[in-house]
Amino acid sequence: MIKEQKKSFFKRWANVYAFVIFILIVIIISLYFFTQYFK
Amino acid sequence: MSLIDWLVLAITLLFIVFYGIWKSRGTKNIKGYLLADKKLPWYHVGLSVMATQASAITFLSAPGQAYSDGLRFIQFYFGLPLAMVVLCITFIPIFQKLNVYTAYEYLEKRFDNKTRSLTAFLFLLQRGVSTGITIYAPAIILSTILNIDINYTILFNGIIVIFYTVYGGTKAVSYTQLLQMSIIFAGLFLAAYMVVHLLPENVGFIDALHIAGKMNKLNAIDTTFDFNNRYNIWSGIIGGFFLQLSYFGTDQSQVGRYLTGSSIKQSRLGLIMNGLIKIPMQFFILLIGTLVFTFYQFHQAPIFFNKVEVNRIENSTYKKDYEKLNSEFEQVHVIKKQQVDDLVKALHQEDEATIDIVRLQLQESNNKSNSIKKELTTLMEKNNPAADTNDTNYIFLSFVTQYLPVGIVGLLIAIIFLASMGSTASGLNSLASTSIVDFYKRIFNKNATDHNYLSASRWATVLWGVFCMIIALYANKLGNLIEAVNILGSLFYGTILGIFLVAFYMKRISGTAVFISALVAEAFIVYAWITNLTAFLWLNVIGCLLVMGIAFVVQSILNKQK
Repeated sequence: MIKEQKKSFFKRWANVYAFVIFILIVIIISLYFFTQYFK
Repeated sequence: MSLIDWLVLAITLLFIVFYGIWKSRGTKNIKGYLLADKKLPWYHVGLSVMATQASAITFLSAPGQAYSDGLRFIQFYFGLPLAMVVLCITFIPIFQKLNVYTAYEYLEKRFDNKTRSLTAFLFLLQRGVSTGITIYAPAIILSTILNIDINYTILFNGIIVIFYTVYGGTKAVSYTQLLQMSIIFAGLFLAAYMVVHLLPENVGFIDALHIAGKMNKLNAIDTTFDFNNRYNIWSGIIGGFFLQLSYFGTDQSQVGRYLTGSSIKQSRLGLIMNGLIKIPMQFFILLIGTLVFTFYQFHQAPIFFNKVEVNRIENSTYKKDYEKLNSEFEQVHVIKKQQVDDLVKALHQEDEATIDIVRLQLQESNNKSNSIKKELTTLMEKNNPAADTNDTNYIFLSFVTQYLPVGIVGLLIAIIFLASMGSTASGLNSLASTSIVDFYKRIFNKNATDHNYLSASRWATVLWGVFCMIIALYANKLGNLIEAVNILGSLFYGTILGIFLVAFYMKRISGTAVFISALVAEAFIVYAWITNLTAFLWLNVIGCLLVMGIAFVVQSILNKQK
């Protein structure tokens, strides 16, 4: 029971962390195209 | 500055200070004073963390840096979201569960007292000097605008911060920061709107970006790998990650902010908020700098933005040389303005061939302006070897005071003050808590009463405040302030982070091994900096990896001796 709770807790936070990294990738790609577009 | 601007400035500052004092009334014990009773929600933690990092230097130097160097500084922050994730997984749960007051307390539990004291000492050294610089930064403004001695402005700003930090401790710091960040965001949007509004009628926001872009000012991403290039995507992600991880994970001025969270979850959410907002916020500030650059393509910019240095050269034997350079600079501007007008026309007509031709012409004219400016700074150095030849910090302020309407000038100057106050207050608070918890309470007076520690914390805040003001009085020789702070941080953060990473992830390493490795690594980092071995961001990576590698070797030797 405790193990399951721990697992779901980690899963929930893992999604949050994945979201943060996803946003970082989106920002970097957007900035790359921003640089190229206005060059 | 007009009377209305002064009123706006005074009312904003007074309101914030009294709000902080009012919200922190009734602080009676050391937990309340240093950790705000551990009751703050995530958005409070997040804004407080952001306000601590965003000092006045951010708002003074960053737009100026974008003006002269483009957007590439943004890459410096790419490692930040990754660092936030690692902090949430490793650092926060450990610090919160052990119920520590400072990050260094954990090191004694894991290693020994000498490692704790060494790390706390390195922090005090670095943070003491950095906080001095954050007091100095806004003092430039008043001394430039009012033409008064910079020393008086340093004392004025320093005393206000010491006053409310001593009175309310962490609570006052956090509550003032909450309000400060709200006003700062509002002011920044207003500034961006005003720059675009002041452009000629036929030039819109997108045109302004095209002009800046064609003159190489929107170079946000640089994918070339070069160890000696300060800002590229690799140094930003790898070097920036290590710098931000050490700053947020081991610098008490930041650890002290998220330790105030009411639970692990609240502290984590606060840091994630910082990870998501920081890059867009910094991009926005830099973008304001590039818009100011575009603005000055239509209006004559001064050849050098620091009026004090210009006055000095005007009153020297080099006056005629200066006048000649100035007139050449103005002539280039006339040519450039014509070229920019041609570019706008070509942009509206979508005439790609003309755009390409004008872009090359503009870049050539811009190079000419830069080389004239370079000649002037050489002249300034010839006239006065101690001259401050870097005017980056003055660019945004000159624009604000010269072109923005009454009222907004006061508000924007208040923002710079508030930002400085926020990060200075966090700095003083963390210096005091480390001095008291890691040295006074641990070594000098182990069994005193809570009241004794509380009053010792207040005195420590006063003493560190005085120390930082003294540093501020000598800070004017450091060039670009934002870089000076980051370079200073990079000298110590790598080593400190290495110690913490060994503590978290290398369970077999003892205190003696990590202590020896930290001393050797720090000596090498100072050597690498003096000999210009690599760009400063890499010092964080090298310092950290050195501590981990040497600690492993030393521990193996110690094990064999046993």
